[in-house]
Amino acid sequence: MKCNIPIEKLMDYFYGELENEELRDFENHLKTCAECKEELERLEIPSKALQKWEMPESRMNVVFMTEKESFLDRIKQYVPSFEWLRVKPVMKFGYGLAAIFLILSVTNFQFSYNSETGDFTLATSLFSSSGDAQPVEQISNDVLTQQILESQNRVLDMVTQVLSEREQNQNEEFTNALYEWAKNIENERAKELQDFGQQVISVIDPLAQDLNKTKQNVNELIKTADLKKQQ
Amino acid sequence: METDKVIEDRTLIEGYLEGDTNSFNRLAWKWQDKLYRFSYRYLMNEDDAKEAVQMALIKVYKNLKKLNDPDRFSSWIFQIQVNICKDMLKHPNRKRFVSINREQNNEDGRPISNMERFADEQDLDHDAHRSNIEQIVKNTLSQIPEEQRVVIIMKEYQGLKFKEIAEILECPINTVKSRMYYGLQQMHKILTKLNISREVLFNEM
Ligand SMILES: [Zn+2]
Repeated sequence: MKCNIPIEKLMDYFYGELENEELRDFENHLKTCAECKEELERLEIPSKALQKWEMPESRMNVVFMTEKESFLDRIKQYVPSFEWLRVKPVMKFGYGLAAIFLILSVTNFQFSYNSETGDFTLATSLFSSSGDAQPVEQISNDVLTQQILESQNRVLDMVTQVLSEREQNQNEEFTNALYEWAKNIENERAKELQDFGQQVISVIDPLAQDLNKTKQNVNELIKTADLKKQQ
Repeated sequence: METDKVIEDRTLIEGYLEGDTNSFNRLAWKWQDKLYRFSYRYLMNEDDAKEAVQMALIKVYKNLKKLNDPDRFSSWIFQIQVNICKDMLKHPNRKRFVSINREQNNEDGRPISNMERFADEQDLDHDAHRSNIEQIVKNTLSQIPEEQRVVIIMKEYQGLKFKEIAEILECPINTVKSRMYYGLQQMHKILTKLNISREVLFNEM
């Protein structure tokens, strides 16, 4: 531009950020400067175009919960003894759980749990899917506050409910894992006992044969001795 | 910056720091819409935008204790959101949150890309003319250098003051204004090439 008005001033005016004296001065300048006027008209084109891109209606809602006691923590309490016993299936189960995001969806909302970081998030909508029922300006601030607090409490109730259900699921999973583990131990013990039994037999068998032989030998010795006596 | 100060940010931050998780939820609910709108304009995709907002809020949740001045909260939370969005554009193949009820995969099992999603949305749109303009605007905006584009989005869609944008981006206010100016200039050039004139835009309503 040949005109010496800085572009910063032009931007301030274009977005209504000039006040009082500055605004009056610039408006006076515009009356005589065709260049600035033309420039402002040009800027209206991209600005207007940008407003043609509408926002989608979708909304989101994230709820944060601090978990009381997570399933993973409980598993971790048992991990040292699991390691000592080298029960693989349960360990695998624990590792698998540590690496995944747990995401469950319940009708209108979904939550995700990252057991690696312990992040737990829940997404739902506070609003009906058809969008806002009423423009915000038409409701008094008190009513709005009340409404927002009420809907927030409803969401929190829902979250608590979902969490307790999830807790129950976790308990079930945990019980199943323990059951599996116990079954494995039992199987391993049974196998060990069997092995032990076979080993015992393999030791006892020759021993029994030896004993028999000894017995026979002794019997023969006794017989011989008896015969000698009679003679 | 705020028109909907139902409960002050400061009050909610203090509540959270005293151990009330629900204060944080109320804070998140106050901000998530603004953050979502910004992220959607920046990433041009609803699912990515939602994920970006979740990530930003988790970061805020974890780091709020370290924020010394609660009055800086509004620029701080925006800063976090801008950085996460930038990161997401840099790493398009990152790990994603997967949602069961909105799983979007192709026949061969790979996730649908943004461009494919764009195409689908276009097919579904009944108002072909409007969506055409919308598409042109998106394409034009995506050609603007990132640092100018951020300013354009914050100004045109979030309605932030230049001073507020400067605080978020931590740069001089005049830099913000000149980025805005050159960004609009650039857009004007592209739009003119595409024959999007004053008349087209103003008569089309
Ligand atoms: Zn001038």
